Amino acid sequence: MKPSYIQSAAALSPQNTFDGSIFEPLAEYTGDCMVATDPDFGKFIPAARLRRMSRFLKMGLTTATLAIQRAGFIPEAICVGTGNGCCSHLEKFMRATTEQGEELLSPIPFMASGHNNLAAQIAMNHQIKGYNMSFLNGSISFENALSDAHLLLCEGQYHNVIVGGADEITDLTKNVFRHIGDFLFPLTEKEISNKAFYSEDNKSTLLGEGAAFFCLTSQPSEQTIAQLVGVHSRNGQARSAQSDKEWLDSILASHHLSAADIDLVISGENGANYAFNSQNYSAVYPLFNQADVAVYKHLCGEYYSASSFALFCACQIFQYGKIPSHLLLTHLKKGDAEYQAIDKKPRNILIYHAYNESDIQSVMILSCGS
Amino acid sequence: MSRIFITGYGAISAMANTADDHLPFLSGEKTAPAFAPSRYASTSLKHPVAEVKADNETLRHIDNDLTVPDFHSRSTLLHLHAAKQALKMAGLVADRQPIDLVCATTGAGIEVTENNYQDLHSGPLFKNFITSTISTTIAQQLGLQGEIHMISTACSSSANAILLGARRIKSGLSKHIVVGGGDALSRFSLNGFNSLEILSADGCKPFDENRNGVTLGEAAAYLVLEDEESAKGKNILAEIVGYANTNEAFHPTASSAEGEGPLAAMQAALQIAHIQPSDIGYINAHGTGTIVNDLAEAVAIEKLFGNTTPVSSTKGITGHTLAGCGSLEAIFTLLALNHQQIWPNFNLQTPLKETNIHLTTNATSAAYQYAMSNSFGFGGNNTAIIFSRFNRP
Repeated sequence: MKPSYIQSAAALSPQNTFDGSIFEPLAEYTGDCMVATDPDFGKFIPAARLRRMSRFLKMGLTTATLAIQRAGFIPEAICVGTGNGCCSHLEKFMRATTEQGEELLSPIPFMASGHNNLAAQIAMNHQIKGYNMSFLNGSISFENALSDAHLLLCEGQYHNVIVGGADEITDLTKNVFRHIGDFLFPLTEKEISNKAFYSEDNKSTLLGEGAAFFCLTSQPSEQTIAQLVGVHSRNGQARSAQSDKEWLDSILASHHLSAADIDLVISGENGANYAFNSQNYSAVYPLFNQADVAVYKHLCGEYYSASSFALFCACQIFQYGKIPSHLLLTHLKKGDAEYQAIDKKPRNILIYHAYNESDIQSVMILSCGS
Repeated sequence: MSRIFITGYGAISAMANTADDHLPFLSGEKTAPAFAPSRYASTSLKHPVAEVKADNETLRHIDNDLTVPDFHSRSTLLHLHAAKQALKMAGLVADRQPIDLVCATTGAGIEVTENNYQDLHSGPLFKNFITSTISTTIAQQLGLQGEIHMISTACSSSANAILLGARRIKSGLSKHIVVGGGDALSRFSLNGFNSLEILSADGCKPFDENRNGVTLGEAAAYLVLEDEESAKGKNILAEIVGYANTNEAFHPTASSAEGEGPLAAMQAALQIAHIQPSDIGYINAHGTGTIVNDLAEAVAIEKLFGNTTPVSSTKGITGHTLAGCGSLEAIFTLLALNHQQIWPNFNLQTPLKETNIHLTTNATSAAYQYAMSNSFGFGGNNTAIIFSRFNRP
């Protein structure tokens, strides 16, 4: 497949990324979750609509709007990935059916609970009447959306598309993740700081949230931030270190790349649960022994569509031609989470995600714009 | 670019447990089970629905070689059953090649969550609320090792699963892909449609002048799509030649009266197929039985096709199966095509007055090459898919 071209990137996260960047000292969190910093939503969404919106919709629509403003064009199509979707409206309606004995229910939370509501709101707000797709697929929800957007541009019918991922923290998701734990691992055994996520003795992580959106085109332009080379995922049920290597090698070969061409691996490792990480991530790092390894969950927390934040980090690293030191795993493992900009522009970045949840693995490959 | 061949299908609905067993109901040989209040959803609403006969325990053991953990939802069981049928019919052996999957859901197994809502500590049950358990359970149980996608675009969800699968085959991204979706009935969806005051009290009558709303149903349906190389030597059931998804960007749940969104989707699908409206021999409409959306679809169909192309909604016997209807009706459409039949518009007495679209009331024979299936969803999401009869060389 041909590459597509990322023209703009915007992210709302627990860090100062909405107006700022990842090139700033790490905002520290110690509670049981990392909540995204609200921008002035009213600047982006008409007040009448804003009142009825959940945080998920506000965060998603606002971030999508910023990505569109930065791109300078209204995209023709929309692809959204979300792990929890409109779960707050869904929960609200579910609670009402129980509490009100299935009588006299307001339809508003039901209407808003569709998981494609964010993509629909972006379409209505910007009058985008083309292709409109929403993916709800756990930890690869965003990868599903991105690969669809990439395919859409390769097909030639559409010239540009907006794609993004978003998820919110609600009371229910907090409870669910704390109790099921298989995706996020023990959330907080003791008070931990996101600065210490990657230290040796850490066993837990923090729940996070956010939204990240990107405008992509089929043709490069002067403002191109990065090339999206490919997006891949698999159900690696029967996987081993050997099959991981073969899978990654075949992906790289399909893009005429080798492991030595990758200068930076952005890893979804969340710091907690070392047994799992060594199985799923540490086996992959040696394949890219010439690359730096960066992590990002200590910036945004752990949530289903967090890999959209990883793509945002990759875009900013290309844009600034620098890597923030507090993303590098070697620094963090030494307990050093201080920020310093390292002048280094990678040629190619590989974003890798693996969850014990159902053995799903994903890879996004990006190349510098030129 | 590859052609897109259908080599397998599977379905379960209130009428039948396999796809082909739906045929006598569509042709009118057998009468579909009457709509009746739900037996399995935890609701006090007595609105008639079209519910799959089997209870969860029966569904769990319908396939001897599947071992589904207890906590899985009724939705997951329906999905698994339909996907397995489709895979078997296509003769695909999962461990010989990585097979891709696109599934579709609106509720993601909410019928489990709503029954356990008070108990936030109930562990795995809650996975059904928000996680990808349906897609990953299908992949695990059926041994699919390829790319796993899951779409949620309300009532057009599984039509979009077919559309994405078709695009992946055409572009060469997938060689074989299992596509489809479904939903079980739930207190959530029943109360949702009831709160919108669009739930029929006595059974849906799509495109009828006296239609009074939706009857909910439950189903899951899957198809197997393969590229030319992979389908070589197989029994090719039909070809997908056109597809489109557009958005009306008009209202969260309603269509514009002019049917602008449905019209755009049907037009774009015809363009992809490189055919004219007059080439379409049968349209399986979305037609849910609501006042506003049926009218919008009828207006759009009349604008594009005039009054000669036969149109029918089959929701009069299946009910509206939400994420299941796109793939279920895709199978009905290809059954119609392969048997050279036009299915009746069930429960029609007085066709709606505003248009003169050609609604059929009895199953009739017809010679035609192309058929279209429409699926529209909340959020202004409109999808049309065009099937072509496969002519053996």
